[in-house]
Amino acid sequence: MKFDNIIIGGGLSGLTCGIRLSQEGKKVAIISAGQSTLHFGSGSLDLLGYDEEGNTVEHPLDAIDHLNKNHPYRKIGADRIENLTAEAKKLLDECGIHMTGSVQKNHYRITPMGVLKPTWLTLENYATSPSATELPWRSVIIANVAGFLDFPVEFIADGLAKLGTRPEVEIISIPTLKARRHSPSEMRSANIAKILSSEETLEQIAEVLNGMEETAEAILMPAIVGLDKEETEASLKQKVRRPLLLLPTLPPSVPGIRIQTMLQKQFTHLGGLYLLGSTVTNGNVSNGKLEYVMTSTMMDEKLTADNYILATGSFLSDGLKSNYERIYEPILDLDVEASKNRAEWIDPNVFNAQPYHSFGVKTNENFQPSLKGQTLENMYAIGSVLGGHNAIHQADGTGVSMMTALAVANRLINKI
Amino acid sequence: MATDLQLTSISEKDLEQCLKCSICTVYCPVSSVTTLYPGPKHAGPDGERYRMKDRRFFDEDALKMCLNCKRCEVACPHGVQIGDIIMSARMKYSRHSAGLRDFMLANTDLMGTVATKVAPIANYMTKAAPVKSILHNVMGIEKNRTFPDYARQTFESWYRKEAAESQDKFEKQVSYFHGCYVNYNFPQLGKDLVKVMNAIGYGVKLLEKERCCGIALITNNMPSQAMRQGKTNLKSMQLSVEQGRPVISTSSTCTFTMRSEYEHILHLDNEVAKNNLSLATRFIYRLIEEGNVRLAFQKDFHMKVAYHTPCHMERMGWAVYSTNLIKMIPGVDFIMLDSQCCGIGGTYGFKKENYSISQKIGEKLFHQIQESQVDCVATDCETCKWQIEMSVSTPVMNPISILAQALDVEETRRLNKKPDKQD
Ligand code: SF4
Ligand code: SF4
Repeated sequence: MKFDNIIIGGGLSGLTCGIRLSQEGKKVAIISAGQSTLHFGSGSLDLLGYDEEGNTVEHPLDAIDHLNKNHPYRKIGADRIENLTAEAKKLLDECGIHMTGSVQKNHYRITPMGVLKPTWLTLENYATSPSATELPWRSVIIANVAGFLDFPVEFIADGLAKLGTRPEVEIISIPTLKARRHSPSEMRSANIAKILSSEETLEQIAEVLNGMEETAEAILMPAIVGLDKEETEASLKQKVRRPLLLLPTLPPSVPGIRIQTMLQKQFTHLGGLYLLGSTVTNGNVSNGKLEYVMTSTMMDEKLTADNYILATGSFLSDGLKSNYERIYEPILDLDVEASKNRAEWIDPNVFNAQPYHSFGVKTNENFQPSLKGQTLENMYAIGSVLGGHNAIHQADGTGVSMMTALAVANRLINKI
Repeated sequence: MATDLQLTSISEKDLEQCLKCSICTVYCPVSSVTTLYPGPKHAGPDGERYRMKDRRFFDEDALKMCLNCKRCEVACPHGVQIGDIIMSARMKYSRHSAGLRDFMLANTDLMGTVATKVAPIANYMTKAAPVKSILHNVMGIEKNRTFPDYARQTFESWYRKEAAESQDKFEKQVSYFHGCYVNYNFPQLGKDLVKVMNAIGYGVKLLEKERCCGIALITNNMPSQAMRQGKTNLKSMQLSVEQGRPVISTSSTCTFTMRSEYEHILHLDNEVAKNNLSLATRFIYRLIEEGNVRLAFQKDFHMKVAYHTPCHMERMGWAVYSTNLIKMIPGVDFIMLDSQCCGIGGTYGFKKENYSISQKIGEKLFHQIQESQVDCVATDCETCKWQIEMSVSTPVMNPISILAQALDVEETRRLNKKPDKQD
């Protein structure tokens, strides 16, 4: 089967790149080995939250020039990043993913542990703060559903109290949610959201929320509504008298799944082919070019394209692997940036930046990887599979995914 | 030594590869509509750890609710064979043998042989209210479900009478695994296949011996019979391949069963199926793509078609072949439906205890089909066809039948005639 572009990996970077290329009329296939790490998403997209020393970044664009030369943002350049963020925002809007925030100045999202983290864009209807040290409310109700354990209310209440907001915890339920507890292992955000998708159940929840004492300024609720569409959130908000805002939960993440679904819909709507549940097993390189890839599902079918984009993610998604000897890229064994000395992979203090988090596929300034020192002309690597940055320590993972995806897509569009 | 141990000790069905990420719980059609099912993660890798320690952790009633759709496996980012773990656990730990109802539903071959002999009576009986009520109350077969009609003449006997002789004149040949549905209920699909294959220059042979692929035996916990039938099919396939004929099928479920379940659930050596058994749409599409075959279509053919991806097709990852083939037909106005379970799960939806779950699962799909206002739904699975036709009024066709209708047979034949054979 022949395509203009084959993207290996169907998460945030793969889909962003795929949508951009499809918009220009390219014939694109995305091959995805299972669902992506967007399922662990926070409902926010980070661009750059902390510098390499761990200090909070307020103005991400100003901080880019201070990053190490290998950081993907440095390869793109701070001036271009600003344009690409505008492009990213437009792309999300077109997919029906409505987010607020500015690249000029970070705002703060609230984690499921009740801590504030700097971020770039956040879904509408989610709780945020413009400040790193306080919240916009004096008092809030944290309303969790009885039996829902992926939302540690005590931690959140503690965290909010430390920021000077008085939290009140309320445990709520309605009959359908009570019944859901029959299988505790399935009392998960997405399954709850499937129940809270009808007007009838939303009315019931709203009634419970409206019955609470009117002392707090706002109600914070776990992200258990709006799995398919944003309108469900709006509908619930409208029924509740006080401001109602959502907080991310532990995985699976309802906002993350919605982002994934909407991106995927847009990609297929533009004519892209999304192959889910298929793993790229190997490929053939000759004369500095990748000639084809093979998959776990399509037997002897060779998938060919003019250009290939590796968007397989980091260790969690098997984009990078390790054994006792080395860190490697499992499909083609591309060159990686990683220490050869195993003792240097980790820092014994778990709270420090872990060296292995910055390992990744080695690329040139155009994000083209190499094999045994030879650059692959028709291949690119984007997103978390890239080295030189640390998604956890610097809060730059989703930003790197979108920026590198757009940078590579634009290069491929303008090349011919 | 220790190095080898940790790096190579991958458990069966990748049980210990589970990250506990819970992604699978989002995509299980059963736990989306009922709170009684513990979900893929718990029924699969989590529960298996307990069951391995003590059989008493085996909750048969819960695990029976799994449809065997494998959508959890498609979603799992770490390759855990969740559905296989559940199905295997049912076989490994259950001490019950299948009752009469499950035996009847699972033995599609036997039931078909009997019923086609008395097709008009059988078709009347399965529709008659008193019979349905007995089936429902005594046997536990849902009364609201429409049974597929039985044909008066099986595909095999039609083939022997009408088609067999003319197949030898083709230089290239395939063997056709028709499956029970084509043989007993809907021979037309088999006839369509023969028509299409002949038009592109391929003769169609039957396997030396064909038995039901056994999927219903697997899901109804009759492994030894499934294994016997599996061995017969694999042996026949081997013979066919040795004689130069690859094997094709028009059912995504039969294909999936023989390519995957034979190995993962029945532990049969099915290399021959994995390497040589293909879905007809895939086989034809690839011939066209490689430039070895050309199709010509009727000028006035027009049809608005929506494609539904059967669960086992989704797991195989082959829907693209069927949809690409349909899209090649110039008169087709194509819509891709969201890939989601229709709820039937083979014999699952025929059981009265599952009927309401089955219909609830399908709701979203039915709704989307109604909204799409198409002339027909295309799909590669016969049980999806029953479920959709029973639940919405839109007719359902196999892509091969659509192709057979759209094809300009004479012109296609001419295009695919070998130049050296023209004299
Ligand atoms: S999706 Fe896979 S890895 Fe995640 S919990 Fe389910 S079985 Fe485990
Ligand atoms: S096979 Fe289907 S029904 Fe069974 S657990 Fe997996 S997703 Fe659920």
